[in-house]
Amino acid sequence: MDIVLEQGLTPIGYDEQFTAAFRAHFQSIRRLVDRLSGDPHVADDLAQEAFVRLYRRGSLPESPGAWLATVALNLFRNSHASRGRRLRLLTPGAGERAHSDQAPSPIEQAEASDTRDRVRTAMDRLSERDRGLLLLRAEGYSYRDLATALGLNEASVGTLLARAKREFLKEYGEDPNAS
Amino acid sequence: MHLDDERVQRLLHGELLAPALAVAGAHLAECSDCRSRLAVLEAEERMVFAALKRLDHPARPVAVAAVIAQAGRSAIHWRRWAAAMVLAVGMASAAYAIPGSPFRKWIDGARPTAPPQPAPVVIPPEPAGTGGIAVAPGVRLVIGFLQANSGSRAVIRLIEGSEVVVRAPTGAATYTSDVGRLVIDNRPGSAEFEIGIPRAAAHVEIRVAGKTRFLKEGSRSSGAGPFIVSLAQP
Repeated sequence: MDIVLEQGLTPIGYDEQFTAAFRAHFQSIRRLVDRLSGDPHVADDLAQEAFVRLYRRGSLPESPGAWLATVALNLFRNSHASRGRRLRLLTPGAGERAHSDQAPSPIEQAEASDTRDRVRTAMDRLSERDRGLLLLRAEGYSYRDLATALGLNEASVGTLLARAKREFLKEYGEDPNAS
Repeated sequence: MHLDDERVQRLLHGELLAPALAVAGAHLAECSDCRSRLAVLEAEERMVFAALKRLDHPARPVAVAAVIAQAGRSAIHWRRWAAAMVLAVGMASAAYAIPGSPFRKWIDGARPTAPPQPAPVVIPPEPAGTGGIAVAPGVRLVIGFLQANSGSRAVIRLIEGSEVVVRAPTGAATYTSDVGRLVIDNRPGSAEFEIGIPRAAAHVEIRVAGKTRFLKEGSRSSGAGPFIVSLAQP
């Protein structure tokens, strides 16, 4: 019989497993939602909520990263729909101003903002599936994880990924490193 | 045959299994087109991922203990909510169970009521010699005498009107009329009923104790009028 903690009916020993999973995946999940939403506060909230749900689950899933990514994508989809949050296409991220330690020059600020807006616009024009593919792959998720998180056939992930990258570059229009 | 997108991508990401990897490697060694395609795709991917980094905002440090504490608070909050709901339902049930409680009256008053059903028309017994009923035959009318009485009979005539008319000049009866049905609760004893059936009626049937004794269907009837139908047991 499992001994339970007072807090959340969680078997003792799970805290250690959870802490390891948190350290391995939190920044990745947060970055995923940040890139998806364009809002660091949303990213903080939803990434934290995904881990709260993982903790309350009481045991780690077979692939914690894929599980967390799926939950985070669903949380974002729900919050996006219910609160009318939309991708901030042409506004600089509020969080960047709040968290930046350095004070870039006005020209640097303008250039960075312009580039970010172009990337954001290109991303916004992609399908939800293509956005998910690019963002998850950029975080290093395996094809199996991509298929699980996005509900795809694993055998066609490579093809879809190639299309998503081409679509992004077409929308982006030019080499992002040039600016 | 060149490598397709799926295999090139898998090659790029280390997702090809050993046998397929060997085949792809052998092909790449000989095919300059696929080698350059792989290099282009690799460069494109670097370009895409570099662009995505432009979207990043600095992250706030989050302590795992804070997440665990939040999960605990959420669980406690949920349990409290569930307990409050159970308590509320229990109190409501207890209040409803008290006879004459205002809560019970309020719930009963708020409960939706079924729409009233049309009650069958019951004509109370009339004094002998005056009783009777007139009903529209519709597409089909069954006139049923509940009892078979020796010495009782019905005299049936085809009439010009639009309603079936039943009279009991010498006996009392109770009539119950419903759609397509007229039930005559005839009392024991001798009696004579006069029944007028419109010539245009489509289907009029007379049953005595459940058995058909007379039938008029369309322009056809079971005999020439006036018709005498015995209400006695056959």
